[in-house]
Amino acid sequence: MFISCDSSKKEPKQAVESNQKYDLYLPSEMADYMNAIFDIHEQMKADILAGKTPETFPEEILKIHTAHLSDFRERTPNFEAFSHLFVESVAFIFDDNSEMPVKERYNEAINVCISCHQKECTGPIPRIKKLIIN
Amino acid sequence: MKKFLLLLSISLLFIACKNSSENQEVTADELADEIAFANFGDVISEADASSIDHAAAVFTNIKVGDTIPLKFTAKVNEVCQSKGCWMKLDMGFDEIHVTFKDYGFFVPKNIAGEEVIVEGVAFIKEMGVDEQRHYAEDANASEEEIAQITEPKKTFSFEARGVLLKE
Repeated sequence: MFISCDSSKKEPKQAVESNQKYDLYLPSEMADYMNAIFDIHEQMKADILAGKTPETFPEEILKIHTAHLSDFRERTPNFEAFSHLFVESVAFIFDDNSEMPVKERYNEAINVCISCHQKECTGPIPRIKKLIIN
Repeated sequence: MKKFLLLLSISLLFIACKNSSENQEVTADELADEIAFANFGDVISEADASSIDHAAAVFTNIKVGDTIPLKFTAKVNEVCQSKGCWMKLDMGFDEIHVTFKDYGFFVPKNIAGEEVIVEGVAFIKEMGVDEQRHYAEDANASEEEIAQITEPKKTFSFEARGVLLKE
């Protein structure tokens, strides 16, 4: 879910010519969102590996329901279903009453991202897999 | 030396562009007339790039599970028309499916027919039906063409950390 077909990591490290010689992809609001939540989970992974339990649910996560996609993409029923599942799985990371280890709850959220991308856009999956805590 | 300095200048522009929004504001038109290559992704050089014939020989000998570091020159056959997040390179008897390391950069969507130098790792990938169909959609294939994809396929694959586009 982190890096939809609407995004890339920090977007291309490339020069853009003003004369429009190159037809380059312009990132959408969803692309920026995906990059932002990737960074959030990267920090969360570091915290968990350091023995810290994440404490505050990142409200930015909720923007998945409103962020604009690129024109060539649409909110498919699959994407909508996974969006809700993703928000729930992230919220579960912060559930103090859960008996499941936080590492497993965190990995479950990442796996939701991967499952969604397997249907929507496979390109970012190798990068998302790096968020898994082994 | 001049070429090196120009590539270095563009590289510094890249590094300065920390996020995507800012990145889109970078211009290079003042340099475009003079540089020989546009660099996408990590800064790489054209030095020691092998021919497509050499790359083809490497690919035909790769076993599933191997990853072989490689830098070579090839012609672009096709680019993802959604984002430029993959491209196919001409290998004569087949194509090489190129993706970009960590989904960290894309290439222009209008470079089919152009020559590029790519540096990264070569491998063989068994691509499932869903993924093949997704890439076909990205390439604006017709519904009929997409429906004809019904079996997994072993693909010559390459993950590029940097791309030089000859200008």
